Amino acid sequence: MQGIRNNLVVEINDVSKSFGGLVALSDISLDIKQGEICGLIGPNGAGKTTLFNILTGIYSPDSGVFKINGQECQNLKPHLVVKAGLARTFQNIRLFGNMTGLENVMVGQHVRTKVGVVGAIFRHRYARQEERQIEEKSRALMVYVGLDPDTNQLSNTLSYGDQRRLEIARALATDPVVIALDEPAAGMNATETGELRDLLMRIRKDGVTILLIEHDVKLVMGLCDKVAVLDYGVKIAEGKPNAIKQNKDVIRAYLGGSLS
Amino acid sequence: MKELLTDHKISSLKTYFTSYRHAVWIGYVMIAVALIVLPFLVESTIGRTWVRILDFALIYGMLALGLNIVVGFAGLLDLGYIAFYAVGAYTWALLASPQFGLHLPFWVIIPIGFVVAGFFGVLLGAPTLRLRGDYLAIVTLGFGEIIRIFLNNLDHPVNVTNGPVGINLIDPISIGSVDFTKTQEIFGLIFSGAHIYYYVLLLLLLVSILVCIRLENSRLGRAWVAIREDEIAAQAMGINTRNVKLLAFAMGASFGGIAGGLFASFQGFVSPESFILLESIMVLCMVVLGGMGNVWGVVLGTFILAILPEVLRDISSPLQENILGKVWLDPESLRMVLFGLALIVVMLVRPTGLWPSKKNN
Amino acid sequence: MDIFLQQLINGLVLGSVYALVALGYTMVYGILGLINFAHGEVVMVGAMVVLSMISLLSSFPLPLGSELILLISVVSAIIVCSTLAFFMEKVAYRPLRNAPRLAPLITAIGMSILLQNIAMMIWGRQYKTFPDLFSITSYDLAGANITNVQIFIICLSILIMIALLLLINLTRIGRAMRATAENPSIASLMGVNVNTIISLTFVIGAALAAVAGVLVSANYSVAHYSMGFILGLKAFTAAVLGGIGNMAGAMIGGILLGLIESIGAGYISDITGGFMGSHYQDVFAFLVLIVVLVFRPTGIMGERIADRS
Repeated sequence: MQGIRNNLVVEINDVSKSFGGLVALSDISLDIKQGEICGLIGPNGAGKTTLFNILTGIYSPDSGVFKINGQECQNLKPHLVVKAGLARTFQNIRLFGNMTGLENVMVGQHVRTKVGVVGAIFRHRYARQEERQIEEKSRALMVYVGLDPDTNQLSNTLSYGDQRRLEIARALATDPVVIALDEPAAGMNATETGELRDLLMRIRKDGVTILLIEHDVKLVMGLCDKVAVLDYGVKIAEGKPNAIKQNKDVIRAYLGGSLS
Repeated sequence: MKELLTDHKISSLKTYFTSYRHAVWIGYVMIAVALIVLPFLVESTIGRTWVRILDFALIYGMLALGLNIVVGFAGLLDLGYIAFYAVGAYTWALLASPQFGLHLPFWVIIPIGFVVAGFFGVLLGAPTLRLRGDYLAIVTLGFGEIIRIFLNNLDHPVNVTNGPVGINLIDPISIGSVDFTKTQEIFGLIFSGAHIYYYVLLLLLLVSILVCIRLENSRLGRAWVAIREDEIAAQAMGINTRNVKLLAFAMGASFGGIAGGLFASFQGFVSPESFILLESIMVLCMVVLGGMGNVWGVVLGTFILAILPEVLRDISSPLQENILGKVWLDPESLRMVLFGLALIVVMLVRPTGLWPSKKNN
Repeated sequence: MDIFLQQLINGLVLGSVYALVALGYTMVYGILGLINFAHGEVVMVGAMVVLSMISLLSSFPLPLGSELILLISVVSAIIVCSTLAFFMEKVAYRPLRNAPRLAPLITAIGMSILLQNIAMMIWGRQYKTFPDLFSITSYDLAGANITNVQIFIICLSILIMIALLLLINLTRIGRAMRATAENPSIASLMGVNVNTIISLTFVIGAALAAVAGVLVSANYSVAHYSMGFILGLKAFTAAVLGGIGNMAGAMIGGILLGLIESIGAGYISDITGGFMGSHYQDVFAFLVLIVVLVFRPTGIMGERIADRS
């Protein structure tokens, strides 16, 4: 836990990014405390997913720095960002379709395990032990998110809601400090959203910080400790959900739409 | 549920499981006996050439298993795979033949071949990591051709490979004074060279199968499949896709290198002609037709495609004589026509291969 | 200087043939994502049919001029090749449209083996010489030679490529083809008959291949049952070099590969201080391909496909 200031697990400072002439993000700063659920909202095209892709190492920012768990990550490749402690899910689910649910979660532990070719071939004691731990932990995580670890179903045959849950379990398998969820409730009905809310609360209670992009305003307002609002690549507001609801800029950004 | 499982039922379940286990063991023993007896049976019924054909099928088996790591597990389409086979074959040829007057023993050459081929695998893999799908295919194809062209032309200004003529009089595997390609008599049984190599190759193929299955069910195997399924998501799960892909190339190449060395020592002769593009394509066909990603499917595909052309060679003339009265069509072309048709028909009937992996639908 | 010019001319001739064949690969790839391995064999069939037609027509005492004989022969080659490609798609590729990606690649390889060996049964193992319909005249161009056949090859290829670009960019069919290449299922929702468009793509590609077959056998004066494979391979390389799926890319890639090969063959010995002779021509071509792809992973004209997540 080197270099963590004031319990801040995510520190974003003046991050900017443009594509060609289009400014997607300008000077975004955002801090997230350990154990918080931080919501990131904004109209379509506001730059939420771009910010996500920068944080997860898919794009590198034009300028600005950010730290995950105290480690500077702006120039790291995606797999090293995961190692630093940030795991993600995808807006349009990206599971490993032809692997079973359990195998998907087992892949998630790749970054925290180390057996290589020799161990795989000779299965010495350490390799067997590590493999057993991977499987046990993955089973536990599947149960944790409410999936049956014993079904041999390929993940692309799971129901939509189960696929979303599996993605969260897979992200948790990387032992993250922060998980970043990109519209986890998209396409869910009221019951499923309710279950998702319970799951996210449980994840927070177990000490994992959550960064949440979500369109479902009700979910965001009910769940988040704080909310940041993006519009045209600029952070127009940040604060407690109740304050955000009354913020004039936010209301204007949503074209006068009511936020309650 | 508990009350339903009476003592009686439990004991019958127990006997069921023990007898089931017995049956499996009996099955294994029978397969083992069949594999040991096979060359004798083949030699006495259809001739010694067929033992040699079996030997080549076993070598192809190792090759196909190696390619399966690259294509089947990691999803990297490699059309120049035969290059590693060539590297392995020439490594053996140069280290154990009159070419340079070197005659290293096999237990030194095999690890060298493994490492050299693996190195070439990394050499190919490193610049091509960013390429996707079919771009990778054409670059690997080009790499295969480059290796072959070098083998063909490295007879001047310095003679390394003997050019198109190839290298002859390559040492066979031998232990002490026992030469594995010579006929030996053990306990009154006559073992020809093809026979002895059959057992050596069979053993190595079984080891390869074991290695492949273990790799598949490991942290590394899962990472390969994850990259095949979705590279971006694999990265986002913390997989260092560059290293893991390079490892797939290196592992696949090493398998090819060992197979190539065995090929050189068994045949006693190598020339660039054995490493043409069609051979790469043939090995790819074995992998895909058998069932990409499934080790057993790949072995099945290999045996069918290694043996089918030979069967067709034997029957294409007599078949015409019986049906049409005389040999109308060039038997060699007819054999290849039938082979091409077989590829098409099998893929149309079973697009995922004859014995697909459960995970590939 | 004249050697350079000579290699430039040879390269252009070779390159225009590559470009015509590469177009067939790239069009099919653009729509189906399939490497049509049998495309090279279509080129070979085109060359063989033309040769047979010319000798057949010449053997009758008909009052046909040599231009007319050539025209009839080329048209029949186009018809034969297009029909062949039409049925090839229908039998070997269409049933596998939703199959795993490598399945149609294997049937394409099967097709290639099949066609090559059937051609060997029909036309034999020997090299066939291209009949002398026209006398070949050679012109002097600043110290380099260029023949009338070579001029014809370059001009015809350019004409065909312009016609194809017009077809793709300005006509209704062309628009349907572009839409199908972009997204087949959406195109079909918009009322495009995707099956027809795919058949049409194969037919057009085969017609180009037939013409390329004629040109290449006229240029080298020979045809052989195995000529298609290497030619197809080079053309596919050209298509990838240009950026596969991109028509202009295939043209540029084809010409470029032709130039690289012939200039490389001429100068490789000088570059390497005599270590590598012209045998290494292909090494040179593939090395250039690898270098280009390392710096531009989707080819010269290929679009950068951003990964949305």
